[in-house]
Amino acid sequence: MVGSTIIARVADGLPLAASMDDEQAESELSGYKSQAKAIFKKLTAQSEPMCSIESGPYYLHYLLDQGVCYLCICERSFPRKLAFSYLDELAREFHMSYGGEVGKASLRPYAFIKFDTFIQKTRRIYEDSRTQQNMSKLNEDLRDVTQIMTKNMEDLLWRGGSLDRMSTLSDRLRDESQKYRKDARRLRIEGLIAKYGILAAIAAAFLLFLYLVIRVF
Amino acid sequence: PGYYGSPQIGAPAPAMGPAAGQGGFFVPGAGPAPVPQMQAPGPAPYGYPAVAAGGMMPPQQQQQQMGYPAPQADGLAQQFSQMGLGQGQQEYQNAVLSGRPQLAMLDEAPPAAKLPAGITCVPSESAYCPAQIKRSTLNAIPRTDKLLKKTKLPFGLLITPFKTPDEGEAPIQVAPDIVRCRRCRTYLNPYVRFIDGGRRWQCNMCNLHNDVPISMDFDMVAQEARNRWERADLNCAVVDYIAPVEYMARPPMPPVYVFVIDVSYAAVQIGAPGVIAQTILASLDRIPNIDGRTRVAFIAVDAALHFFQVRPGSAEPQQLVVSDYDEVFLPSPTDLLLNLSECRAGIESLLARFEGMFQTNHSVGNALCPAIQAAQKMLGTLGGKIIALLASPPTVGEGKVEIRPEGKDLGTPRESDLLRPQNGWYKTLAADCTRAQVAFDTVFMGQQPMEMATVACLARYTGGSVFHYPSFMAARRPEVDRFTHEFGRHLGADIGLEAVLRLRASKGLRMAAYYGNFFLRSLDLLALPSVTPNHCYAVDIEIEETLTAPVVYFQAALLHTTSFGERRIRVATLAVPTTENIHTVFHHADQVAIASLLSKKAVDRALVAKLEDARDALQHKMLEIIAAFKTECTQASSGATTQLQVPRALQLLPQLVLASLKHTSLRCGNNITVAARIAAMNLVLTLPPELSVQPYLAPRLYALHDLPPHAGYPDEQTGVTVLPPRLGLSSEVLAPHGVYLLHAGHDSFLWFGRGASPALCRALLNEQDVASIPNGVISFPDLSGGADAPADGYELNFRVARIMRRLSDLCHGLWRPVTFVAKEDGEPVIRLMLAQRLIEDMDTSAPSYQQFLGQLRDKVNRGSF
Repeated sequence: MVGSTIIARVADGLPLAASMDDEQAESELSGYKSQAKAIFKKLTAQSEPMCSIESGPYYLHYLLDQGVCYLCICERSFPRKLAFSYLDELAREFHMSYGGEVGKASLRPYAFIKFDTFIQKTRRIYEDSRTQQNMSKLNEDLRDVTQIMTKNMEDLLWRGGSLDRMSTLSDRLRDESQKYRKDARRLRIEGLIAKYGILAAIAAAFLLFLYLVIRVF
Repeated sequence: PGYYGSPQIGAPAPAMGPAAGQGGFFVPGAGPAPVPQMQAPGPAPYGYPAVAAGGMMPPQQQQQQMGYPAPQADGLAQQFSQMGLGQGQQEYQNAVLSGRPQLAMLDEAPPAAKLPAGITCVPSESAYCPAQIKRSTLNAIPRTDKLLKKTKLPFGLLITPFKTPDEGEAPIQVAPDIVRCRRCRTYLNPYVRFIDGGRRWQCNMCNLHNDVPISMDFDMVAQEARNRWERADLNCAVVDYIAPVEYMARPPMPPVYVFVIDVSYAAVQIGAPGVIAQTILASLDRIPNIDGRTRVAFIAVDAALHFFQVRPGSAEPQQLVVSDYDEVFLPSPTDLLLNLSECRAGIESLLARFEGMFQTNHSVGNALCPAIQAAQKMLGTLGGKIIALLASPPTVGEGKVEIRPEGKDLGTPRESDLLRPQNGWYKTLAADCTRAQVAFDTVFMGQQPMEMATVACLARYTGGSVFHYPSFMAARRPEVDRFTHEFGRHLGADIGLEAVLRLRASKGLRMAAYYGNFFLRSLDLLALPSVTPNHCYAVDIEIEETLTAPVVYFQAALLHTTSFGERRIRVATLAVPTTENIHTVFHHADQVAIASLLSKKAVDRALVAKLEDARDALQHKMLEIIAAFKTECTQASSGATTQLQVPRALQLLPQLVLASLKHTSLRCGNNITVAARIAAMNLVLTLPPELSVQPYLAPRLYALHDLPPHAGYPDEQTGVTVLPPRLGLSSEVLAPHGVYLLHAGHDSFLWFGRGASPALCRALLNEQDVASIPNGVISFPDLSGGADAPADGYELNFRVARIMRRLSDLCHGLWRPVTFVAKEDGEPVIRLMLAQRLIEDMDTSAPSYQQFLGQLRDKVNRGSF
C-alpha cells in the first residue's frame, strides 16, 4: 500500500504537491516524511533518476523526471514494480498539467496542491497489489526493476553527513597545521633568544666597555 | 465606502500653519515643508542608491535631517493652550446630557487618531489601519497606568482580522517576501524607519536596528532591481504575506465540511431536513472550491447514525446505518468524505432525496455526540468544519444532556446557572478538536429546548458560529427564506483554516484578556481552527510601564490557510498616539468601540458569574466614567451639578450602555428564554463593533409616511441609496397616522399606527387598509416585480425595499431580517417585542433614558456609588 506521496522540485527541494493522508498514516509516517525532506535537499539533477531507499519497515521510492522528484513511502511488502509504475503515472499526469509552470522562480510552496485529487485517485487504483489490473501490471515488463539502485537510508543520510564532516575536518586540519607551523617558528626564535640572549648582551656590553676604555685612553 | 470607512487620520497637512493647527498633535517640520510624493526616484531605478546619495528619501527621514526634534506632541499642545492659540482643551467641546440622544452621531466616523505627520515611511492613505479591521477604544492613549485609571475608560482593541473587503473597497495587497524584526518578530509595516542611509531599518515596536535584506531592493530570482517604496507592506497597514515552507507544519489542508443533520421526529415535524438539504444543494456552487479539493460529508442523526457513501462518478448514494454508539466506528473506510467536484452527481442526488428519506421518520432521540465522534474520526488529522444542525437536544452517548426546566427560574438569580454548560464534555471535546484543526458551527432550529448553553460551547471554543431560528417552520415562507439566505451565505463565505492569531504591541503594553469565539493557546496566541470574515476578537490591554514614545503600535498577525490551498499571513498594524493630557484622552475616546467592548465584557462576565453582576458592572463603569470626567475635566469638579457633562465624543455612551442593559443578552425580566439569551450573547461576543452597536444593540427607526423626497433613491454622486433621517428610539415619536420601520439587524418591524391611511397601506404592501394587513411575520413584498423603477402606484414599496436592502448591505449582508408587522392595536406579543427595542422608553424591567440619566446624576452628585 502506498502510504504517502510528495512531489518536489529538484533544483531547490521546494515541495510542489503532497497527498493529504489519513490519521493513521500521518502519525506513523511523520518521521519518514522528514527523511523524505532530507532526501529532497540532497538531490541534484545528477542524482540517480530512480532509486529505492530502505528505511525501517518502509521503502522510499523516488523518481526524477524533468526536474521534478516524485517520492512515495510504501510498505516493504509493496512490489517495487508497482510503486514505480504508480510514480510514473503521477509523473506523466503532473508533467502534462503543470510541466510548464514548474520552472517558475516565484512559486509558493505546495503551489500545485490541487494535484492531491489526482494522487488520491491514482493511489486507490494501486491500493491492493492483488487486483487483476495490478497483477497484469506486475507481470508486464514495464521496467527493468533490477537496475534501480537500492540504498539504505542510514547509509545515505549518514554518509552524506560524514562526507560533510570529513571535508570540514580536513579544512580545519589544514588551518590548524598552518597555525602550528607559524607558532613553531616563533617558539624557536623565542627559544634562541632565551638561550643566547643573556650571553650576547653581556658580550655586547663588554665590547662596548672595551671600546669606551680604548677611546678614553 | 462604508460609514466607518477609512478615517481621516493623520493626513499630511502641508497647508496647516502653527496657528491653524486643529489638534493636540502637530509637527512643525512637516507643516510648511511640502511632502514629496514618493515615486520611483528619477535617475536611479530603485530607491537604495538614491537614498545613499541623499537625493530622494522618505519624508520622515527628510524631516529628521532638517534638524527638527521628534515632537513631544503634548508638550506642544500645552504650550499652545498656554499661548491661547486655541489648542489643547479649549478646543474640545463638552456635551450636556439632557434631552434626546443625538443618534445620528452613530453614523459618524470615530474620532480621528491624530498621528504626527510623516510618521509613515511612505505617504499613502492606505498606511492607516481601517477602523473596520482594527479599532482602539482610545484614540489617544494615556502614557501611564495612573492616568488611565484616573479616566476609568476601558482600554482595549477590537480586531476583525479576516474581514473581506466590501464591494468598492480595494482588495488586500500581497507583499513580496517576509521581513521581520530580529528581536520581537514584528513584521515590516508602514511605520518602521529607515536609517543609515537606508541600509538598516528600525523596528517601531522595540526600536531594534535591523539590517535591510538585499531582497528588498533586488529581486534575486528575476535578477532585477526592485523599488522598495512600492512594497505593499510599506504602503498598506493591512497586507497579506504568502508564507514559505517554514510556516507550514504540513501541506495546506483543503476545506472540509461535515454536515451533521438532525432527522429525528422533532426535526421532521418542523420540516427542517428538507429545507436544510435544499439550502445545501442550492449553495453547492458557492462553497469555496477553487482547487477542486473541497470535501463534504453528511451524517443524519436520530437515535442512530446514518452515513452516506458515494462512489466517485456514481450518482447512487448508499445509506449506511450504525446504531451502536458505545464504540463509534465508521461503517466504511472510504467514500464517506466526498470530493465535492468528483462526487457532484451523487451529492446532488443525495440532497434531492434527503427529505423523502426521512419524511416518515418517527425515531425520537438525537445521537449528536456519537455523530460528532464519528465525524472526528472521519476528519482525523485532516481538520475541517463540522456543521451541526439541531432541532432536538442530544440524548444519546457520552455528552447527552438533560433538559433543565427553566420556567420558574427565569428572571431570578438561578437563571445564571442555566446559562452555564451542564457538563464539561463539550468544552473538552472542543479543546481536542482545536488541536486537530476541527471547528464547529451549531445551528439550532425550532422551539424545543435544546440546552444551547451546553451545546453552543462547541462553537464558542473552536472559533465557530452559532445560529438560532426559534420560529423556524418549513411552512412559514419568510422563515425559510431567512434560513436559506443566511445559512447559504455562511456556507459561501470565505473561510480561513488552521489559523492562529497573534497580537503584538509596543513595549509597556500587555494583553490582559480576550473576548470572542476562539481557543486561547497562550497569552498572545488565539487558536482558530476556522476563521469567519465577520468574527471580531476583543482584547483588554493594560499599561505595564510608562509609555515614552509619542505613538504606540499594535500588530495582529493571522496565519491561516486559504480556501485555495495557500498559507498566508494577514498582518494589520495600528498606530495610536499617546498623551499625558487627560482632556485629550477623554475627547479622543471612541464611544462605539467602548460600548462594544463593554457589552462583550459584560456578556463574558454573565457567562462565568451572574447576570446581575454583569449588569451592575456595566452600570457602575458608566457611573465611574462620568464621575471621573466631572472631577477631572469640568469646572464643577466637586459638588453637585444639575446637569451631567460628558465629552462630545462620549455623548451617546449612556444611551449605548442603556441599550446594552436592555438588550436580549443582558435584559432582566422573566420573558427571555435561555436559548434566546445564549444566541444573543454569542452574537454580542462575536460581532464587530460597527454591527454590534448599531443596529444590533441600538436599532434604527425611520418614518415611512413622510420620507424626504430623495430617500430611497440612489445618491447622485455615490449611487448609494439615501437613507431617511433616523428617529429617536422612543414610542413618543410614533404618530398614530404613521408607518415606521425599525431595523435591528437580524429582524425588522413595520409599525402601523391606528390611523394610517389606506393609501399608504396600498402603496407599501398592496393591502386595503390597516385592518387587512396580516399580523405577524411577513415577507416584504416586491410590488415592482424586481424592476429597477417603481411600478405605478407602488413607489413607496419600491423605495422602502431599497432602504431595507441598503440597511442589509450595511450589515455586510449577514442577515436577512424577517419583517414583523406590529399594529398599534394588534398582536400584543409583537408589540412587546417592538417596545423592548425602543430603548429610550421605560418598561417594567429597566428605566427610561431620562430616568437612567437621573439615576446617574444623583449617584454622581452623591459621590458614592
